[in-house]
Amino acid sequence: MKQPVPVHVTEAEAAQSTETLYAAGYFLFQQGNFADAAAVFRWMLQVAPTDERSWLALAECHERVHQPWIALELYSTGTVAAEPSARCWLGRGRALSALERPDEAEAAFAEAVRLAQASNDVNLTELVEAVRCGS
Amino acid sequence: MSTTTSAVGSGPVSGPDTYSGGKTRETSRQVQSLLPAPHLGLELDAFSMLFALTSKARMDDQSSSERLIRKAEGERSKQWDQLRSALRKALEASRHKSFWHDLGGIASKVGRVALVVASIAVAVASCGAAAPIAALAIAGAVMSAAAMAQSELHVLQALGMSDKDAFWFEMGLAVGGSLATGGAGVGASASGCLKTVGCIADGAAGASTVAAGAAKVEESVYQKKESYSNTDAVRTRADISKSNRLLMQILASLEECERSEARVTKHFSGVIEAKGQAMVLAARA
Repeated sequence: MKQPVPVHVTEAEAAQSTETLYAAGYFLFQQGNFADAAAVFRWMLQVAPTDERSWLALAECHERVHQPWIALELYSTGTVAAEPSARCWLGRGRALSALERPDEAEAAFAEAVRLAQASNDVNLTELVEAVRCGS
Repeated sequence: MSTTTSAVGSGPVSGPDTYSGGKTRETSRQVQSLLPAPHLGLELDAFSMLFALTSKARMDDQSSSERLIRKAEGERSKQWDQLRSALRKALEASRHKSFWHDLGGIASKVGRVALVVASIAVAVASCGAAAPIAALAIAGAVMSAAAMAQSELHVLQALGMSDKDAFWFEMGLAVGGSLATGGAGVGASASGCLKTVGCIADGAAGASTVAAGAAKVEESVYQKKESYSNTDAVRTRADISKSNRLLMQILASLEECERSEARVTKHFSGVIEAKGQAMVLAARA
């Protein structure tokens, strides 16, 4: 039986692949082409499963095609695979809110706020507050 | 891993949520994107390449190339409108017939997807320390692919109907519940991963069995209408892919043109330099 050939890439090459995939997917996402963007982000997820953007981006594609239950699972998994991720907790809160599960949504938002404040990233904190208020 | 990029995009407007059968709220407001902007510093990223190429084309007054790009984009936009129209018609038609029509088929496919996920993830789980996360990634990607495919093709018959939504929601719980609540256990050991994979397979396969058992076929005039609309949608999607390929070919041509130009410039530089040297030698003589 033919054995698969292992592919070795440097850390820099892997990072570049991730960024290239993200940029391409982001471009498609902004064009409103969520299905193709999701296809790109699925590849990115395989290349960089611990990068929060992989989970966020794929989940948001599903949110945009009105599949909040799929988005919820992806955001939730992102909170574990890419922790600590304030954005994944934020997305989880938003998806739960869309599914009318307010108590769980509030708990997720609270965790997002905690992580955002701990990161000392003012923009991230503002984003969390904006999304929380809008949900 | 946490990114520190602060830019926040704002995606297209989300309309009323008609796909979830009342499970979700109306989302007529602008949905704020959580995605950070990509880092554009790398030489080969798609954004930079695209903008550099179009910018170069403009600066070099390659109007024919620009026209082609615009035409391709316009064509794509037109096709996208056609696709949306076709999807809307299909959705409209789907509301008038039984949700149960294709559920049996869909459910069995979901079951098969779950088994594939399980087999891949089990293989990955035995390969090293990073395996549990990789398994999560594979499971996430497959779930996404299945859901996206449903949303684009088959699920049109069922979208907007609460029972269908409930089915997917249950499936999501079976998959994601085990993933999300795996927590530290999932990250710590391959056995956690295997357990997760088992949950995926069991949950989805169970849901499939129940749903397939409950499925009924109901023929109606709307079904015919819907199949026509779906055919239109598929055909339009194929056209969009064709346009995208054309666009990529144009961009590749531009890139080649740029390379060719650089080669010519280099060649002329060499010629001028040689000529200069010849003149110097001649003057000395």
